[in-house]
Amino acid sequence: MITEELKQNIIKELGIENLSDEKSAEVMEKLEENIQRSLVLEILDLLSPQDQKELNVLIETGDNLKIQAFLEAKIPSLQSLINAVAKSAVKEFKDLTK
Amino acid sequence: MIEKPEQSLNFEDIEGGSQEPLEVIKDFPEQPEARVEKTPEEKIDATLEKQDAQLSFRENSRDKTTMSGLKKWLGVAVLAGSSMLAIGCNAEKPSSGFTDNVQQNVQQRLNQKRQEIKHMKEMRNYKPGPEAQQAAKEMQEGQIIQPYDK
Repeated sequence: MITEELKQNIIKELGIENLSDEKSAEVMEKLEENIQRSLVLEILDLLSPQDQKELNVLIETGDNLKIQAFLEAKIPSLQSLINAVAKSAVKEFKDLTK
Repeated sequence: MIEKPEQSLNFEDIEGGSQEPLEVIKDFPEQPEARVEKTPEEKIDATLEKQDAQLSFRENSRDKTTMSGLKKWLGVAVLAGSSMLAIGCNAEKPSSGFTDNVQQNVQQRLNQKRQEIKHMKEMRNYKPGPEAQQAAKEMQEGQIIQPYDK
């Protein structure tokens, strides 16, 4: 859950403080979704076809802990990847809306 | 066989003709100036659409079930209580320093106390340099601060 203070920090950082509350919420939601989609694609790019098949089996079980363990074993720098993708998407957004 | 036109164009008539615009053109409403600059809102929408289009293109060649499963996992396991947007903006909620570990808690308090003592000592021994004295004098003269009377 994003607190109000955190939300305001994000809005300021994105440079969308002049938009209406409704519009800035919409922008944040879309950007967050884009980051998530981008991250999923990056993760899949790093997995071999065999690993992807194994991942599919784990996804079907719905066991999040097992999925996490599997991905952390296959992508040791998972947290760095998440940070990098999120920062890159935000930077791209800021550059394009300048 | 191509026949030559009987009458050629008389350029003198055109060049020497009246310079007054036709009535129809005179009455034509002026066109509003073409808009070149996009509004911030339009720029934002265009950027999000561009990102969306790029991602959709990449997603087309992927298995939908895997992507949907991974998205779900990202939301539940990785980002519990956090936000990717916050990570991207370096705006993650700062830690309050609270920890259940007693040893860590004591260590944190000790470090904080040490910092306070260090700062206190530094302030006791503080002697303003000429630049600081000059700045203080200027601020007093400008009535930004009042001199401190003991």
